[in-house]
Amino acid sequence: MASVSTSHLIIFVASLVVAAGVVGTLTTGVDRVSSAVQDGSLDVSQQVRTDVTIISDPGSSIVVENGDEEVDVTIHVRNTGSQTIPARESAIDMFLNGQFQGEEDFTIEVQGTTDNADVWRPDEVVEITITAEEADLDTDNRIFLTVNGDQEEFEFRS
Amino acid sequence: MGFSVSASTAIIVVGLFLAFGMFYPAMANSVDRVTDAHDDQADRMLSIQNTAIELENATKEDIGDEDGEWEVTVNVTNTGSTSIPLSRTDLLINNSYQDEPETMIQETEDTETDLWLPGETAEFTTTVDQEPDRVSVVVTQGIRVSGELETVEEEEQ
Repeated sequence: MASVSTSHLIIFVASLVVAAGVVGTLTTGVDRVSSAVQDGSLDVSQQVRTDVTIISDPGSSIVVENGDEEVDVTIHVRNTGSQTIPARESAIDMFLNGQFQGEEDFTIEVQGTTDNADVWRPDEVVEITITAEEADLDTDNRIFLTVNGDQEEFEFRS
Repeated sequence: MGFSVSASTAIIVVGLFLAFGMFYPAMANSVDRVTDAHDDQADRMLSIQNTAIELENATKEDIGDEDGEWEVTVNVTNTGSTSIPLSRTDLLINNSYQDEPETMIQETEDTETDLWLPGETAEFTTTVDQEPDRVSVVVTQGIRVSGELETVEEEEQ
């Protein structure tokens, strides 16, 4: 009889260990998925809130000669969303005539009175100046920029 | 044997409760956050539909001083159905941003107010270094008007 109770005890302990293992795996998995969902929703909500608009007038002179066969292409972009964007070159992906412009190829500067020039708040305007070689510009040119998933296009003549 | 099954079932049920307790707030917060962002976007779309402006006239005048400065005056009417904050209105002359132009509501000759109400005409005045050609006025949500600047001849004395 004693052997029966011992084997019952062993099976009881084993079933508890297995159940605890299942619960542990389950909660760890759910925890991981929960934090991924939270991160994902943060990204999605920021992308929905981000909206920028190029407000430059293509009829004015966009391209200014800089000497040394280089030109400055200046556009103004307004934050028309409700998301604050860092005013850094790394926050913007910029293409001029299909060529990617690296962080050293353009500058970004918040316009108007601002208490913090490092952030681009809603309704603020930034001036983006791309320094390009004259040979990179055709008669008709196109700027394509992406900020946090929001894409903008601007076409102008040089 | 019977007690082992009940005990392990109880542990798994408690575990399921715990897992649901972790997952539910995460899911609810996430849905809330995205719904809020979409509501905000819908509000912005509504305000774009309600906002409209029209360029009345834009003039430039040679001040006649040594620096060759020009005074630019732009009149724009709010033809929409919502008020526009003047402090958040941008003036671009020849693709250069004008920092805080002087503003005046023509109907009331008010220079202090920040509210530009429907039907009112706002006058923007600023001075630039070189002879300008074109002007753009941009209001909230990126709605804008642009046009050529007309020269005002100095009145003969």
